[in-house]
Amino acid sequence: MKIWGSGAIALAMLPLSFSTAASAQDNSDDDKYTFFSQPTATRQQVLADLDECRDLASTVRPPQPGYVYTPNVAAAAATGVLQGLMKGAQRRHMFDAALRKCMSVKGYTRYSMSKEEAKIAYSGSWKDMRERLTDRALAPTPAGTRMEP
Amino acid sequence: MKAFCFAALVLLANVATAATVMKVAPSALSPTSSYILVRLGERAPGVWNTLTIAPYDAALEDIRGKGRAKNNPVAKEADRSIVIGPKSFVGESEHVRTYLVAVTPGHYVIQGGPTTCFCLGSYQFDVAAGRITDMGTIYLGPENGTSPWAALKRLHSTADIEERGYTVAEAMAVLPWRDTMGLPAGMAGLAREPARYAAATRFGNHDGQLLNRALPLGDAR
Repeated sequence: MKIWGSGAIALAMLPLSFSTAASAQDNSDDDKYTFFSQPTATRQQVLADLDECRDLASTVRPPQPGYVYTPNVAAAAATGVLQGLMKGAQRRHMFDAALRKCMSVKGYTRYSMSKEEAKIAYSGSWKDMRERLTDRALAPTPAGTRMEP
Repeated sequence: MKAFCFAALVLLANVATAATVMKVAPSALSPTSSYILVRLGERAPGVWNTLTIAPYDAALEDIRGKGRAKNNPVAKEADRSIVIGPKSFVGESEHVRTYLVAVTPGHYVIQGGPTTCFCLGSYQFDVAAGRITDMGTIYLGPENGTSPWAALKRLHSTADIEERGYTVAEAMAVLPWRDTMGLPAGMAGLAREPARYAAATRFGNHDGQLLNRALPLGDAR
């Protein structure tokens, strides 16, 4: 199952700092919201790269959690919920890592952006979002701090 | 009874057509089968890697029968995804295990390791009937500086990725065959040729793994 199905806008916003709703709780504000930049690329190339990397990263699945046996129904339910939460977080982290690797291999540099900028950049349908992200990727002088890939 | 016979036939058919990982070198090669010889380096002391190869459509740039190459499946009796290792090896020395696998002749790509798909760049090669295709030595390990191999030890991911082990992709170094690479006993007389690798620019992440691109061929610095 893909995290980003067609038109799954709400889900698309999950990983959407394109890096990192996942790491939001772990890192400083500078790391929370990022975008990719490659001013020398063509618009068509950036759009294709964003699509391809999103597709490849969306299929990433977390490792299967271990089976925990308990005769207590409430404990079993709690374990299931906990495992579900953990799996969701793992999936977001893995998506983030895979997307960053893909864009990095394709020659993009990662930059930070503010929460307000991210809200605008990562809103609406994927079709709209990719256009805005492409605008940012092609900007001759990317605003924000350069990040590690 | 009929159902039992059918089930037995299906089982036999699968056994007859699935890739066969060999435990000992054969005395002679079958002219209709092809063979892959590959040496896989230890992942960590006492921990062994697996390697997945799959039939590749070079024109459509995907695994046959999947994604962009969905309309080009392999024949029903041919091998699809082949997982090599960690057991049933024909030789082991200096932290490297050598595997010999009988497979359907064809065109293959190195798809991935235990956790990572090399969908962002890997290597494709032909496997001809009646001979052994020698893939050389392949090292796989996480990009967090813990690999025992020099080719991989220097590689790191960013700190936030290394913090969570399950987000660290594997790196892969492919060293094409050279005469310093050993051969298990009894294999010297068998027809064998080095794999002629060509870049495989991309394919789909059909097993839902992390992503990476293989290191340049022979990169063992």
